[in-house]
Amino acid sequence: MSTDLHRIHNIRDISDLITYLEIDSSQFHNCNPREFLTPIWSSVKEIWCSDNLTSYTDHGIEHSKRIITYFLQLKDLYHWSDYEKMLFAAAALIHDIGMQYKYWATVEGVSLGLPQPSLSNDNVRKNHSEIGYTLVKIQLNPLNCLKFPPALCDPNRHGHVNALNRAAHVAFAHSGDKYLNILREDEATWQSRHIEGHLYRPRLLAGTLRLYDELDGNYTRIPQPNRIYSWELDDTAKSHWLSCLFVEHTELTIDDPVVRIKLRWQVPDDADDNLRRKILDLLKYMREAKIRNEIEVIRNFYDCCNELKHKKEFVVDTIDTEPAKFILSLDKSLVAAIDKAISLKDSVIGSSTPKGVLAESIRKQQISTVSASIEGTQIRHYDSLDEELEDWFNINMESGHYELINKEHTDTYLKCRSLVSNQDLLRRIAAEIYKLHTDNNHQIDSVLAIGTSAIPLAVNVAFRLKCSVSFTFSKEKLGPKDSPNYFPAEVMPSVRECNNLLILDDVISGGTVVTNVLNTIQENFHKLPDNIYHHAIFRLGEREHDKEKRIKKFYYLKHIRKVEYATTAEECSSCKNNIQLIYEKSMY
Amino acid sequence: MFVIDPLKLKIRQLLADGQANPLNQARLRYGTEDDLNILLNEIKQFKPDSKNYVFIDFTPFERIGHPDRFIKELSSITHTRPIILTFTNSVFSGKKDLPLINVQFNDDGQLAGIYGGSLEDKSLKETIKRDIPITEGNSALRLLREAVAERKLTDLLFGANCLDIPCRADKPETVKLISGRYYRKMTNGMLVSCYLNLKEIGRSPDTLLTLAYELIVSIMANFQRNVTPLDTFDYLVTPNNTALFLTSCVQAILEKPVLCIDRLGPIPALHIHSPRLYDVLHDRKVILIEEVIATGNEVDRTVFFLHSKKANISKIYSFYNLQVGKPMLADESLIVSLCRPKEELQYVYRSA
Repeated sequence: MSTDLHRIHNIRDISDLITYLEIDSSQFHNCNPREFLTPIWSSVKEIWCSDNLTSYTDHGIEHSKRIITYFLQLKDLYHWSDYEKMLFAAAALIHDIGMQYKYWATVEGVSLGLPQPSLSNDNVRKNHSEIGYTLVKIQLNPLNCLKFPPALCDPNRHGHVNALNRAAHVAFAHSGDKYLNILREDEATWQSRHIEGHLYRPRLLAGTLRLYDELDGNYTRIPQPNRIYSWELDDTAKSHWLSCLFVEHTELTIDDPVVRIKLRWQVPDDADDNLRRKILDLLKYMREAKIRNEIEVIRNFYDCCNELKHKKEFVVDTIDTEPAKFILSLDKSLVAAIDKAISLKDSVIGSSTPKGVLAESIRKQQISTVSASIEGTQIRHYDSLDEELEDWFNINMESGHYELINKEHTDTYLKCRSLVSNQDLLRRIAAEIYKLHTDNNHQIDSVLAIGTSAIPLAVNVAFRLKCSVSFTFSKEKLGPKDSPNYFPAEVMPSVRECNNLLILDDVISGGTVVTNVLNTIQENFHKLPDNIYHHAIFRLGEREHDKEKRIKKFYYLKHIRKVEYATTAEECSSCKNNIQLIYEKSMY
Repeated sequence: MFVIDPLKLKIRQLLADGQANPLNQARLRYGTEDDLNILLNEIKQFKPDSKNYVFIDFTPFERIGHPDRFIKELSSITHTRPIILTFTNSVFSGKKDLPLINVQFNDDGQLAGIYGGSLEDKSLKETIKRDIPITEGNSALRLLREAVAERKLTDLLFGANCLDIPCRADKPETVKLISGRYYRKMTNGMLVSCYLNLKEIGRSPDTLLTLAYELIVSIMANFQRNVTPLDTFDYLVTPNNTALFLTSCVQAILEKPVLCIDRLGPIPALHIHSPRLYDVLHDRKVILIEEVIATGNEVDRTVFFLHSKKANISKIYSFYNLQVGKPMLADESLIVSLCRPKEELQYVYRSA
């Protein structure tokens, strides 16, 4: 390990950091580096006093200190001003505070207007820049009454406020594209210039932080290496861990304008040749590729900002040295874990890749595809539920000539049974339904699922809404075609007891099924709930579906217009063309 | 026996928040301070009588919140006497003078030791003798959890209004009086002394979760660390809507896909089913989940169908088993029944 990294480890407090940065004697307008950095240091230390090392690699102060070291290694390349050093140090300290959201957002249960602290670990990781930035903004508000975390700066001292605001934009551009785009688009605010005679290049600082955050992926981020075998680490977290664990350190060799980056790797003491090869592959596909990806992102960013003079040639050298050895108890699952990590490389590399800054073609290449749950369905990342439902419909619909259970004819059969098994999609649909009804203050007491395909969705929605749940069932066979009950459905007595009923359906077309259900409720219980809402996932065709006056409001998530229905064989164009009929019963 | 499951409390919260992958999220080694607060609230609501203890099944966790706070807060809840069940690698291991009673299990679920408290305490001795199976070579944890499941699911039948007990007030065409006892007429012409209407479980999502959780504990082998049960099956299969209804909660927690294979009829009309099911099921491992096994015939139909699709049945779970008969096509060793309430219900199944 380099002397610089040894030195950074000896930094115990803010005084040591100020000395290391050599900004002790600097003074800016209404801003003193020591007075500016001290509360940031203290606050960040408190934020990281209880870090979650079960799910994440170490993102705490040691990580920040190492990034500062890499930054200072470039001083002869970029000739950092004292103001830039102060800003970068602040940015390095705060850039990952969002990762601790579950800790600092619950310490006093203060509502920040952010998503509830029980965000999943993965969502915290994906949104940690946004979360961290929001915290800083709240703290910069003079009316802020948060008791925790401690204030990052005095909001009444404008020099410090300006510096923190600048540092925040540099800091949170390290992941995703939102803040990178702000730096790119707000030309007047973020262009390079001098402030009080000090060079100030925020975009360069942001690009540097972004790159060196990535370069600090080494074994020191994994304080408890044997925990890679622990069962609560999901595959994505494990791949991040593994891609750090086998890197001893990152070497920089500067030969202006070229900066050569080389990973020094390490393998477990007892690793055989197969394991060594696997580790090398992992580092090639995960670490090296990720660093090259970041270099490309930053290069494009500078191009977009016309900051060409910042561009240096960063080159990642392929690993070609003998590895160091380290102690790690080997387990037969390690090779499988490495293979799995390699297979996830696209999603891991793509997860921090901004959409806005890169050219569209590069972005599309980096949309990862994960193959299948059941039935070989290709799942890809979607920008909206609407898009996902459109895709799902196209995959699960069958064209032809069908007779449905209510004797209607149609040219499109939707295999809703596929939805039963897709918990991932069900959860998202349930979230959408939950949001709509809570936003509209519908105090739902009970959820009723119509048909088999709606049952799992109803259960998910009921857990969200914390209400009872039931489903329709048939005791008797279908009545004759001209009977009022094509589709006789029984419902549970719990429906009778509720005031606000939510009926969930997979598909609506003409609305006859829900009419039958309401007739049943009325016949059996002699009363209907005060408020009945009907929510379907798909509305098919163009028929009037919302004639039912007993329903307060109809909703559907996705309307697919080009579906034809016929209530009689005479109306059916497929019957007229003698196309063979397929019955719904045989369709799954 | 009173049992509190901190893991279930956490899963409940995650389901209410719509979180993905709730089981893996909840099943961390270290519960948070939030989890501890929720657990303490739950414990404070318990008011067992002076003879009973409250078991807190801590086993998936090594600690919940800060251990000192945990011990201090629990010790201060004097009206509830907690017995903490843990594995041997928990934060309590090796601690002397523990003010709590701690039952420890090793990785195989065998009893490793009982610490804390005083064995001079008669009610404690009785509790341990009654509720903690100390048997050589067997998994005491498994036996204890089986007893918990039996108890909880039996209580649930009565508490959740799931029992349809025929009586004089019912429509005459639906009941028959024989030797002073009313029987419900079933669609197959048989008579039953009561009917388990598990659709009623949905009256409360908590009740649904209780049922699903006990199944998950069984599937996950009591969260013993030396097994990976999620690798042993690909799908959950349910034969009807009620089983699907109950299993949907399991799917929401485990995130293992569920297939509903219904409409099989007395004899599966195999030719009418799409060949796609063959592609889905062929050579896959499945767990079949029945809501109730009575005669065993309920299982046979689905087993026959699954065999025809060349699926491999890893296990057959039933929430309730009325022990009227046994399936003919399924190996009995594959069947796990969470609750056998025949005696409790004095269940009778007979011909007319």
